[in-house]
Amino acid sequence: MSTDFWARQEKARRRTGVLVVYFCLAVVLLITGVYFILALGPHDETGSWWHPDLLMLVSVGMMAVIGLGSFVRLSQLSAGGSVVADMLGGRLVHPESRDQNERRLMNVVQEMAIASGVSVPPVYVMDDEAGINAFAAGYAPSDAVIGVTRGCVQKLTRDELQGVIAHEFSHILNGDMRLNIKLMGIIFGIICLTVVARILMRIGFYSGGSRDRNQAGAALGVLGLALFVLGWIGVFFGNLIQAAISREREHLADSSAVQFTRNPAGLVGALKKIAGIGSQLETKRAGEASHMFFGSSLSRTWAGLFATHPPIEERIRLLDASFQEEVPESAPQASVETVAGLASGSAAVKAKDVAAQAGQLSAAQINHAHQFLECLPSEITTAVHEPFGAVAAIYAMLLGDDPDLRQFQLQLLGTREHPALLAEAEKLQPIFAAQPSRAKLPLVELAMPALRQLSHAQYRDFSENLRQLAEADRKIDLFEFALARLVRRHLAPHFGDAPAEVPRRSAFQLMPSARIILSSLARLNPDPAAAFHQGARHLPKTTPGFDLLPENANTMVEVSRALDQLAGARPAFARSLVKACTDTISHDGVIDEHEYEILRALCDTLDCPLPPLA
Amino acid sequence: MQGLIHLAEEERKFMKPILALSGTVIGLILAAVFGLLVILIVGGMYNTLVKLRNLFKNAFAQIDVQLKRRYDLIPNLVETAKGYLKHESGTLEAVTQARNVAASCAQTAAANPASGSAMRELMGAEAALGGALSKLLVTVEAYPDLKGNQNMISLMEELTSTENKIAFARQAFNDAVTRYNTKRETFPTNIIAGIFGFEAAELFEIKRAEERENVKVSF
Repeated sequence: MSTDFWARQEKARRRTGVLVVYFCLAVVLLITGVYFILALGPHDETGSWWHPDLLMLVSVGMMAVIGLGSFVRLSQLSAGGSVVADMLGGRLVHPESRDQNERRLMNVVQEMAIASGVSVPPVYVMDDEAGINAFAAGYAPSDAVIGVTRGCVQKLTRDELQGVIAHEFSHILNGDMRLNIKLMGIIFGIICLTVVARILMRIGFYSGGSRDRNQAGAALGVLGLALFVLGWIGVFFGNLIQAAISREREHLADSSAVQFTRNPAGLVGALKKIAGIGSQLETKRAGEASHMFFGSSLSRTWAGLFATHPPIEERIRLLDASFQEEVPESAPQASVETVAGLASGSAAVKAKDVAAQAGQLSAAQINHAHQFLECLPSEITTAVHEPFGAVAAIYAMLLGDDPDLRQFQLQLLGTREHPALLAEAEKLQPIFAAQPSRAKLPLVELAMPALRQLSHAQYRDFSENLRQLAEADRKIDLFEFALARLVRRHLAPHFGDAPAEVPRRSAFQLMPSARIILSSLARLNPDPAAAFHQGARHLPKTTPGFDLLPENANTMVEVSRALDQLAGARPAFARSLVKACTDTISHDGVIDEHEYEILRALCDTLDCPLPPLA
Repeated sequence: MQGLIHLAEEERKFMKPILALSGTVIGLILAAVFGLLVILIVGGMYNTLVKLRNLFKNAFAQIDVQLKRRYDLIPNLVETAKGYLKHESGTLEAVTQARNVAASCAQTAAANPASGSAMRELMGAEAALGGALSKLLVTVEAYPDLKGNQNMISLMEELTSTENKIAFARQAFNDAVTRYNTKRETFPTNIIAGIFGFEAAELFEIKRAEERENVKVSF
């Protein structure tokens, strides 16, 4: 990909603007339509067709209906992608499923998540759907959800499945999902209009009674009918918007998938199977989400302008063509080598090389992830795949080596947690400690699905324990702190603890927070003040007082708050901050594995998935 | 100031088309919007009940995975012990029987975790299995050769570990069931629950005191 992760995010955000414009257009046209039907109606006495008050009544009424509907839907969807999955009849897949095909699906998803530096998303299977289709929903990589049809699970080969999942991951990494969810909210608002219309029609046509009431009733019925027709036009508009937005994204996602897997054959195979078997969905709710799917989910009658997906033949053709072309893309590959150089501590790394790695996937990384998963000891995989073990595993990874620290931690947890859990954590600790630094984050990512299975009460206790462990002042290493925070951040939206969307903040507002973060990272260096300044060069609007913070002002609580603020960073600022952090860390000429992992964990706060060292 | 309802000449001209729509019609339009609101609210409550029900169904799936693991361990346990416990075939037989009954109850419950009767049957079968297992373990204590057998040791270890996981999963399930039941019983969701037939769900509890002791943890 020639543009970097943040440029793509910006682009996706701008598309949201386009969406709003289309939507307003649609609403204006609908209001005009209803107004004219009413204004030119038989009850008009003045002979003119300009009634500002009627216009106001109509506008307010319709905007109220559409606004109410959209608002309700969007607030339902604010819980994240799982709402969409439930709506479409999905069943959550267990990582240790006894079904061969499901396990294969989980393995493919896990590899891809680890390779791109994203938490393993929950995977849903739509049991009632025989066609081949898939979707990704959510606001950000941290609350993404992947859904596949039963047809997908049973009828595709591993390569083809990988192609489809890669396509979905590219949606996650490209920032498409936020846009898609907003679209769903809007579509629902317009659907509400038809609901109101139906009610009006029913009242109008079926009201009996006095002659006077009959006239009113008939007028109401006509109004209802008019609204209904216009409502259908509104749905057309909705489809149009869905189509306009999603067709282009589908081509982009296809080519990204090829880039990720270096295996167009997989994706082409899947598309060919769809051509044979079909990707239509049975569920009635498919219309609301048709723009989110891998293949067209509605029947083929809506072709041409309203098609949310390009025709399959065209997609296959484009993929085959790109396969035959000389692919000059060495850009991601070269960066992978540079990053690999980090591991041996050789190169003085350029900040922009690391930043360029964000949101990238490559076949090499997928292979590494595959190897990593294969080589994991079974005690680890058994532990992280179910809730009890997953909680114990997280505690195990946070238990310090230093005996004083460990004593303190166990004491803290001892009063709050069940003894069996702590015993398990202590048992697992040496096994996890034997894993290299760069395995820690992937293991946390692997544990996410199991952690989401905690009950609300269990989650609350767990989250509070993690917070206490993390913010025990200066008693915990920066890396463990970042890990604890990462876990809480990824779980919170799922349990309704925090909204998936954070308000955006300006660069100016975020400078104090950036200072805190840069200071903590600078302290990992032999020369903190110089390291700080090297990084600060990348940040915009630095004032003369922008300096390394004194040690006692840089507590974990402060860092925590700073990271909370930074979650609202705009893409451009996030990019600068990542570059600043990288430069600060590499001031001593070297980024070792440990430092890189800290960077990865911090980037996660910015919803910026940095892939692991290859 | 003249009366509030006194309209000036221009105002009356503007108001004509609205008045022409007649009070009944406006009233009915408002009723329709109100109707939409009701539908959205009722829909919201219905969806919440469905969501909470799905949550506890998923939570049961977690228990089920661990129960299955336990059911798979037990035949191994019995096989290993057989050689040493030649005169205790009754105890072994009881364990195998109880295990088979529990396994089939678990299958029924997994198919429909919302069914109170399936849950109660499973609880009964699990209690019985717990009793049979604890008898077996007490017997094993008396045979140091068996107790020291490597295979036996690792199987026992796995059994304890699985018990812990079951207990943890049970806690999660019961939390989820409580949330669902509470929502189902509070106003105004209880009306919707009544209309659409949402039934109370059963907590998964272990009734036998001996079982609880055997597990060595208290959740």
